[in-house]
Amino acid sequence: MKPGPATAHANHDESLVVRLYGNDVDSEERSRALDLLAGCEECAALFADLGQIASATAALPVPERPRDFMLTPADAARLRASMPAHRPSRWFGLTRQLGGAFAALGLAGVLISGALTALAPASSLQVTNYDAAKVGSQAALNVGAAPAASAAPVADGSRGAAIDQPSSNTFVSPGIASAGPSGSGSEITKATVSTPLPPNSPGSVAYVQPVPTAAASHGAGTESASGGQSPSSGPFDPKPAVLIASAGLLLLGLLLLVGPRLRGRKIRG
Amino acid sequence: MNERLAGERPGPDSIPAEKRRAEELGQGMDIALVEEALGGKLDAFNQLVLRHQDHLFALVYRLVPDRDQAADAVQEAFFSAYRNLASFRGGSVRSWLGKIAVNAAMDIQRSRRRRPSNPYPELEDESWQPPALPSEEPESRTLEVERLRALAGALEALPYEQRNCIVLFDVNGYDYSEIAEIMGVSVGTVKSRIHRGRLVLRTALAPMRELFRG
Repeated sequence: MKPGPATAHANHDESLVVRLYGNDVDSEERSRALDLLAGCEECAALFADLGQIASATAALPVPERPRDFMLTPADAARLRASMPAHRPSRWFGLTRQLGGAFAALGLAGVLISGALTALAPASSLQVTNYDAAKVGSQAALNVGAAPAASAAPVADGSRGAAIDQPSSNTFVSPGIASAGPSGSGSEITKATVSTPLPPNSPGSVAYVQPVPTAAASHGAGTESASGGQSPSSGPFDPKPAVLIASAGLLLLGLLLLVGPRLRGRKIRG
Repeated sequence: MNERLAGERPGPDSIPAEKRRAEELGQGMDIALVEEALGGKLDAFNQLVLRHQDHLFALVYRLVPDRDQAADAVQEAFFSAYRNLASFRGGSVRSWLGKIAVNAAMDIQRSRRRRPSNPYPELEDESWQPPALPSEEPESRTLEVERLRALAGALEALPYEQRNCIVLFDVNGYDYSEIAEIMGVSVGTVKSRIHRGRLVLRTALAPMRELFRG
């Protein structure tokens, strides 16, 4: 590249030359910068000036140090007394206590809600449609055509005690049936049949689920699944919310415990 | 193609092996002194002071060209280092002390923005002679004083963030990452400050270009 007119330099990237001087270019940029130096007098002059200025900067005078900066024993004693570690602030103590409490509460909450979640399947069985073929050994629980009062509770809680409408199949889940104390407040009532079926049809069966006694006493012991209660609209399960809240509390506690210590390690500037 | 040009600043890998070895030995001694000082030996800390006070004073004086203020900043830096000795987490004691000293200097710089001062007052004194001039010729001395005076004025006119980066890079030989750590900014910010500062300096000194092209 030959030196061009002055107007050509206006289009040259001066910052590239500056970065070349600072050794802050990759190989491709270096090649371009060297082309500029070789072909443009202004760029070459810029590069030379940068070197001259840097040399002069290093040559700026520094006067004699006016004194020694060694510490006297009195200085050291005064500084030791003011060391951060020797006088933790009240705020530091408060955050540490709060952090410990939050972390403990959060950890307990996480453990308890985790344990409850792990045990949950045994007590909250919800099934909507059963294929009779999958029921298998529970076929014996099917009760055929015995007509009965639809709202009658299964008072004894024993297997096969439920009585259903003639046009449907019903079984009592063993887990459910054994869950509630017999004859107690948490009696089991039979659930409903969503579609009329011929007696002893293998197509589908209904199931029995726990229903609060209070509901049964109000004449709501039998409730049609097709009439409103969908599987997803069951009672609110607080366990996930408790788990999330506990985890948040645990995290907050840990932050309060660790944060001030990290800040204290920073070098004072 | 990657050979260094005349005048181009050397990269960190171009430090001679002997100098690197000496630095490593010095760092080992520094760390031993820090450990002794942590054990309560004031003498060990004062050994550190003796080893680094010249370097720190020269560093701070170039950032705060006022002898008394620079001395105060260095003293405060050593106080701060003693208070925070336990927070030293290994590495270079020199860089750690440099960081504390630059922060002390920057505190002064911030207060000086409200109270402008005369940089390098000795340059204003006609009887003052710069040390270690390359030539003893009176004419050369005059030119040198003129050159340093112009440069001091141009440096003083720079934003102090740019000035600090240039001084740390060109005078004290810190690399980009060390300056970034000292200044508490990213490496990209350091590079940008240095490159922009160089261009501003060059523009400011353009009318006196002949002084620098001796």
